[in-house]
Amino acid sequence: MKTAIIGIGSPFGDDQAGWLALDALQQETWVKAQEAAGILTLQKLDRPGMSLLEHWHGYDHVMLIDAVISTQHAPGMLFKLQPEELALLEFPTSSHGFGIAEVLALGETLGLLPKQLDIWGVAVPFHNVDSNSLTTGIICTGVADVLDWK
Amino acid sequence: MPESRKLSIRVPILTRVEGEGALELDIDNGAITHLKFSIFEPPRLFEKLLEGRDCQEVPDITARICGICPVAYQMSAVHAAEMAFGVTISPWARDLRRLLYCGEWLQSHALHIHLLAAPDFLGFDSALAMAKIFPHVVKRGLTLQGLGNRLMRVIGGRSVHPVNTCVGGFYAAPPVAEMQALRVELAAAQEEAYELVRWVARLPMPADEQDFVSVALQHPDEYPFNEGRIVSDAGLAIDSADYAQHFEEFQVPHSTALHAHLHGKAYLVGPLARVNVLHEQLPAHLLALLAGSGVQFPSRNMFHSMAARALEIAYCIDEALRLLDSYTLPDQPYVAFTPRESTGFGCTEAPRGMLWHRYDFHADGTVKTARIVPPTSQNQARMEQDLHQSLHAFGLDNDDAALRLRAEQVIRNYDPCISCATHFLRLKVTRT
Repeated sequence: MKTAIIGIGSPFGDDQAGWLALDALQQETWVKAQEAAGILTLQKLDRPGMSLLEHWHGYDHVMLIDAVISTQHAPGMLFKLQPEELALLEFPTSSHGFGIAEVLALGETLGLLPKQLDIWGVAVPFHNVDSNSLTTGIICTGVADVLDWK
Repeated sequence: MPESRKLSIRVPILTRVEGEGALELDIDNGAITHLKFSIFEPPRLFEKLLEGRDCQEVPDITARICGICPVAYQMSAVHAAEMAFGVTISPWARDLRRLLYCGEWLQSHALHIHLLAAPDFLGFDSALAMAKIFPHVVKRGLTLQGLGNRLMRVIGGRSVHPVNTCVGGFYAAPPVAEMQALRVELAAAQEEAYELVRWVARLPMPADEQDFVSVALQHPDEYPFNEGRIVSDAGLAIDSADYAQHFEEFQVPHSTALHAHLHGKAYLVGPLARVNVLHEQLPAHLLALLAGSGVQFPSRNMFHSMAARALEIAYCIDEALRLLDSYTLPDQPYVAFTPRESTGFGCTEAPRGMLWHRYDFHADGTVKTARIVPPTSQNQARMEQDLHQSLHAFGLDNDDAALRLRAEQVIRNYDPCISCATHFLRLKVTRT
C-alpha cells in the first residue's frame, strides 16, 4: 500500500502550518525509512487547487494536512477533521484557487478519491496571512496522532 | 410594463474572480443607459518593481503576475531582453519554449472550458453539477489540464510560476526519460483532445454575430507562440516594436487596468482572434473536426471562443508530440550574452491573447524602464462593447436572472483573469 502525506499551504503567515507539520513528520526516523522503502511520500503543496487530484493519483491512502482556524485547539495542534466538518470548509474567493472542499466534492463525483482519505487540521488561532511569518508560538504538536495510521 | 421598465444592476464586488472587479448596468425604457465593466483591483506596480532589477530576474518576477499564464510573462520578457542584447537562441531552446507554451495553453484552456465556461452552455450552475451528469467530460478536461501542468513541471521545474526560463535559453535541460514519458501520455490523450473539439463545437451556442477586429501574432511558418508580426483581420501588419504607434493605452475612471484601442477602436485578442486570423495555419485534420457543427472560422460569434480554445488544445497536443519526437539533450541549454544599453520588445501569445513587453536596459543589463500590456487589459473595451451588443441582441426584456447569466457568459468568453470564474455576478436589482 502506498501512502502520501500532503501538507497544503502557502508562504503567507499561518497558512504555512500544513508545511510545518510535514517538517515535523520528516524528523521521524520511521518516516525516513518508509520513504526510502518507496511506500510513503511526503509532499508540500502550495495551494494546489484541482491539481490535488493529480498529486494523489496512484496512492491508496492519502493524508491531507492543512491549516484550520480554531480557537478550541492549542495553536499548532494537529487534529483529525470529521467528514461532516469538511462541508464547513470555506469555498475560495478566487476561481484560480479551488479550495479543498471543492476538490473533494469533484473528486468524489468523478470517482477520483483515494481508497482511504484522512484530513488533518493544524490549529491556527486567527486569520494571519498578512505577514511572512507564523504567529508567534506555533509549534506543531500531535504528530504522533497522525502517525497512528501506520 | 416592459416599455417603462427601469433596471439597475450593480455588482459591487465580483466574487470568485482572479482580481477585483464589478459590473454596473442600467436599463431604462428598453435601452442600456449605463454599462461599465469596472476593475478596481489596486495597481500592482510590477513595471516600477522591475526598475533596477537584473535582466535575468525579469522572467521570474513577471511570472508572478499570473498563476495561470506565468510562461507567457516569462516568454515576452526573455524575448524582449534577447532582442535588446542581440541574442540568438539555439533551435533547441526555441523548440523547448514552444513546448513549454503548449503546456501553458493546455492547462489554461482546459481549466477554462471545463471548470468555468462549459457549465453555462449546458444549464449547470457549476462544474461540480456538470460533473454529475457528464463525468467523462470533466475527467477528460482534468486529464488535459493535468498534462499541461506536467509539461510545465518537467520543462519549467514546477507548474505554477516555473523557474527554468532564462535570457538566452533555459537554465537546465529536462531529462530525456521524463520527456519520453510525457510523450507517451500526450499520445494517449490525442484522440481525447480531438473528441473535445467535436464536443465543444456541438454545444448549444447563442447565435450572436458581431463586428469586431481580431488581432494576433502571425509567423510565416507556424501557428504562433513566441514570434511573429502583429496582424489583424482588418489589414494591420506591424513589427512588435511598432506596437505603441498603433495601439493606445488609456485610463478610464472606472478601471485600475488600462483600456486599449487599436487606431481608436476596441479590438479582440485571444483564442478566437488567433483562430480567426490564423485558421489557415491550423492543420486541415484539426479544422475537419468542426465538420457538421455550427462552428466555422473565421467567426463573428464571440461564443465560438470556446471552440477556438478547444481547437488550440488539440493543436497543442499535436505540436507537443511533434516537438517531443525530436527532443535530445543539448550541449548547452543557453547561450551566453553581453548586456548593453538598449531597448527590447517582446510580444508573445498568452492563452488569453497577445502579451506585449517593452524594456529599456542600462548597460549592465538592469532594467531602466518597463512596460507591460496584458491581454485582459486589451480586451476590456471589447468586453464592454460586446456586453452592449449581446444584451441588446438577447433582449433587454428578459428577466433579471436571464440577463445576469447572459452577462456572465459574455464576460467568461474572454477568459479574463479578472473574472475567469463561475457565476460570479451578484445581482442587485432596483426597479422604479
